[in-house]
Amino acid sequence: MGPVSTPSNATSLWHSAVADRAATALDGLYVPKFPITPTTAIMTAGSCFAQHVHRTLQARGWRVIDTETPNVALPRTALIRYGYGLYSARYGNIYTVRQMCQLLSEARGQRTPKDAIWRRGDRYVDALRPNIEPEGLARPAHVREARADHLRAVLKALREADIFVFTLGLTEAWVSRADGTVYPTAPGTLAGDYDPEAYDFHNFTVSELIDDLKELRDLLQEVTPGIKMLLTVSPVPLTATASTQHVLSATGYSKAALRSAAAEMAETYDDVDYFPSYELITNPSARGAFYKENLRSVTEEGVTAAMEMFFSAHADHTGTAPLPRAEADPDGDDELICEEALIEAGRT
Amino acid sequence: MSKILILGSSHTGAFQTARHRIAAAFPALDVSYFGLPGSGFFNATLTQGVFAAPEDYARQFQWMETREIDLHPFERVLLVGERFAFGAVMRLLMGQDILEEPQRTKRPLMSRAAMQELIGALVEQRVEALLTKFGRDTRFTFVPAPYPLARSLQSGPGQEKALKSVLKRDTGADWGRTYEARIASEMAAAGLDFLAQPRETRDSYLTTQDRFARQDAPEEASETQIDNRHMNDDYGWQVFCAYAATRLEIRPELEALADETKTGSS
Repeated sequence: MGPVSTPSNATSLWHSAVADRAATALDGLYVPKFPITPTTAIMTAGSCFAQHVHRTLQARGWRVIDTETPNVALPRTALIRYGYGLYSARYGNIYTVRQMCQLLSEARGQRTPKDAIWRRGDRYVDALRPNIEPEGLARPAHVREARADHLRAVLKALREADIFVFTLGLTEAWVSRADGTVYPTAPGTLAGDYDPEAYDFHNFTVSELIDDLKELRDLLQEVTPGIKMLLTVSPVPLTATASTQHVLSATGYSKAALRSAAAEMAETYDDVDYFPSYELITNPSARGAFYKENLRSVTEEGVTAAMEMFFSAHADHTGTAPLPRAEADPDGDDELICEEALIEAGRT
Repeated sequence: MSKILILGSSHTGAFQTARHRIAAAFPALDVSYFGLPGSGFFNATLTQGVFAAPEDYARQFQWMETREIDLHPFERVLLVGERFAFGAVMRLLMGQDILEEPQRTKRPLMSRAAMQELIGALVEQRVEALLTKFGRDTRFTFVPAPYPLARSLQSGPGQEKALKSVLKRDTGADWGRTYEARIASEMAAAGLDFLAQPRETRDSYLTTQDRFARQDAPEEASETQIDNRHMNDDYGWQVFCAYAATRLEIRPELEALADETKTGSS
């Protein structure tokens, strides 16, 4: 039997690496495989935690792709109510890897979901992004046309991207029996009707997740050769489980499975990396301080801590951050003309 | 004599140039004028009833005696020049096709509900800014900056590209009405008095008649030599008459009206 190896690096020892550290100062937790700079074209997607990533990168002036939000300074509250400005295209939250794969396949014209329009009262919604039109649309044809427009925007975003940042959210999903389409919400909650003959509940296994992540990587590479992938795991616990497990156990399974799959991908491929925001938010030295009162939602401090870890790790490049593009104020009159108008008024 | 103040941005100029006509036609009113160009006006402060140019604002116009004005003595204030995000709304409309409308121009699609919400949010933001700055002072009436001249739709310098694009749309005027209705409802909800640009000064729903141009458009002019947004004294006169009729319930005296008819200036 050989000698037991002794960790020589402070980051290997719990006491010095975690217990003795402030929750926001876990040195060496994120050591990037490849640089990401303010000029790297970043495409974001995933579960709701990915919204924070998108927003923070954008606020710092990093080159975050957004192919669907109008290029006008608009109040954020109104934008997000209609699904704008959350991600690189208007797909809403994508909780599972399988759904992301299906979206890219659909955008490439390789699949057409059979059951993609659900009813909400007398209105119609896109079952694959049921939150983006709060009142729904008047006709199924409108949903179809809007989706076709959206799919073009998805493909455009992917073609522009240097890196795809994807936050893994859930293992649980509702799946169409007709063609395997994975939905972001359970039928009958935000829209549609729950029909046990039409939908199955599925809880993805680690091996399924790895297969889906490999497929996702292939899809990304086929459209944009050389694209890199940065995976994160959402630190947000399940709000409810459809499994027979206690929600805490279900959350534990979900996070462990997603984390394992991400680790295997990052181990296997040079162009896939893992960003440990999950570890930072959930780490015991924070003593739960990064969660709001509902013990689910992440506080702004938690988001800031995670993103500061990201920016610090890429610090060699942050100095070159370009300022957000200054748009001419469409409501600003030409100052010289304004003055002239007033000077002239005094002469008459 | 009722003391009235016309306060605002560079659009105050149209009223200032009409001051002799206003004085002659409304002898019961004592009207004062105070205007600051764009950024000076929007960055001005209102503290304890005194409206003042920003401290670092160097410009001073000869016809204004001071850099600040005490609003206390005035019974009514007509605030001119707020654009209510007109430019942003036009750019937003220009950039999208509306999902529920048949017209397609290969622009991204947006649902009618989303467009209405975003226009409403832009307007609401401006109304909140007015409320924050001026408070709910019942002496105030807000009249927007005039819509650009009809000639601004022509190609060349000074063209209002977004506005032109919106008005080319089959439903352009309908969206104009939606926008203006939203201003009226947001202002009413905020308890602020809104006076829309009088119909008789407009060409289309969103443009002003060219006869109100502050200056002619030279045949060969650069971008900075064309002014399609500021209006002349006749415009100031028309708007003031509309204000006086609807808010002060007085009309110009006959002599001034006769003179006006003789010169054909309105």
